[in-house]
Amino acid sequence: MFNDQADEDLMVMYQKGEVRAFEVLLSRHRRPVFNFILRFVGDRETAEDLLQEAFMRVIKGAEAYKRQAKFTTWLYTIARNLCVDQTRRRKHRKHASLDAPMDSSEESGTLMDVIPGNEMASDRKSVNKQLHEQMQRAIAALSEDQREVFLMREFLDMPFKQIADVVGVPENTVKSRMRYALEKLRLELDDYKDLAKVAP
Amino acid sequence: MAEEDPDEPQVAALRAVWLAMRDHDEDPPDSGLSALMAAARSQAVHMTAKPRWWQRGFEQVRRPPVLALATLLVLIGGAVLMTKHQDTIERAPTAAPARYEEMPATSREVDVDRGGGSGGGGGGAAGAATTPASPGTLPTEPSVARPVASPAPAPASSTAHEHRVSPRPRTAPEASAAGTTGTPRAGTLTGAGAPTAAGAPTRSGSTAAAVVPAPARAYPGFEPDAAEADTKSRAPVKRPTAEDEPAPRQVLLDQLAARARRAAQRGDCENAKAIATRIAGQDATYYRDHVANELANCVPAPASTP
Repeated sequence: MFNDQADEDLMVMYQKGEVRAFEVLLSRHRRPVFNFILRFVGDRETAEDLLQEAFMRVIKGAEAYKRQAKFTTWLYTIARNLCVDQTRRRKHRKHASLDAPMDSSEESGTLMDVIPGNEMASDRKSVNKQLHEQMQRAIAALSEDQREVFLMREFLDMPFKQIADVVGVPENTVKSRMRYALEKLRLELDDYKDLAKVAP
Repeated sequence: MAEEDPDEPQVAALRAVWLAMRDHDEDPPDSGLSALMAAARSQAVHMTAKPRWWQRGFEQVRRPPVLALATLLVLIGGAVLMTKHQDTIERAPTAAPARYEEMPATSREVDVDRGGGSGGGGGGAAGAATTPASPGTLPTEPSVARPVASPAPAPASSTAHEHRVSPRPRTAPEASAAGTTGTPRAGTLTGAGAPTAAGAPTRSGSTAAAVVPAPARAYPGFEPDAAEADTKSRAPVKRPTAEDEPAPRQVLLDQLAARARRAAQRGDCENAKAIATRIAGQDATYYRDHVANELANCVPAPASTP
């Protein structure tokens, strides 16, 4: 009964006390929201905390939810704001350099050493793994504005209009950011274009 | 998704990569799930619990816009009250006599003849306590039909005339004090702002007559300037005592006589006659002694003493 309902209907039912409706919403959106956050902040532990916080805010704000608002827009606005706040907080912290030794010993390697390089992999599985890791690095290298647009567009299949609502900028700005993001990704992954062509 | 660079083969190849990445999405841990569901249940109970009507009203009242509006209303109301009170204070010494002059002659005669104010200041106090404390205001339309005696002249010796003069609607202690002396303030007349309420008990045990609203209209021949000058000259500075002021009826007759004289001096015989007629109605002896001779050129000769 609940599984066929739209998100907005489920939210209204939850407002009337149907906890099961919220359970369906949770099961429907928990995974994509988690992966959006994970790709945004790049840290699993932080992503788990932010996921929990995002749904807690949904619960707290359920009373004020209006049927006219699209649920996913509201949900991803919350998640995106949490990610932005987290990123800004993290900027103030001191980060370890990629070239710095991982521990105090002279012989220890650097972070750069453990990040996969662009050597050609021998088998298909290894190629895919290498491509995915390189893609993640390229996505992480995007600016915050471009990254959020890219993730919502390519990984969540959101229309530009909805992305504009979530981010709070005009639709043309979203399109522009998307264009820059793709261009940057193309440049970053230029060395992997041959691998990408043979990847499944 | 093909809107960005549909003809870019490299982007299309890259898109295939991240589309493949979507298949490897990670599952979030179930560790926080129970806490989320517990919070969801708690919130559901909270949302379904309907607040009572007074709780909803209280919540509405506590909102900042309502509080701001209430504050604004209180300030405006306070300013209006202060302004009105200021006007009342400024008009108090002159308003009552002026309004008395505005009363129709019949009403004034009724007041003069009425015994409702008998029993000292008690009647006045009752009237003041049951009417708005604004001496300058008059009811604009009669609210109660008043059983009134005919406007025929009352006997001059009637003791009921002793306490019909009231400077303003008194507060209870003040009226009570005046009632003990039996002498109201001079220079102001009753009927303007302190109609006696129907059924109000008086000191003598009787009940006052019904409220006598006096329609505000100009008395024929009334001159506001002259009356105001007259009343200003008579504006009481201190409260007179019973010993140093004349009887209220005498004051009234003196005022009427003075007005009749002024009218006669102006050549306004019609007005002088009207006032003289009123004086004759009040006190024929006074009319004969003080008015008839002085206004001989305007008023008819006095009738024989009844």
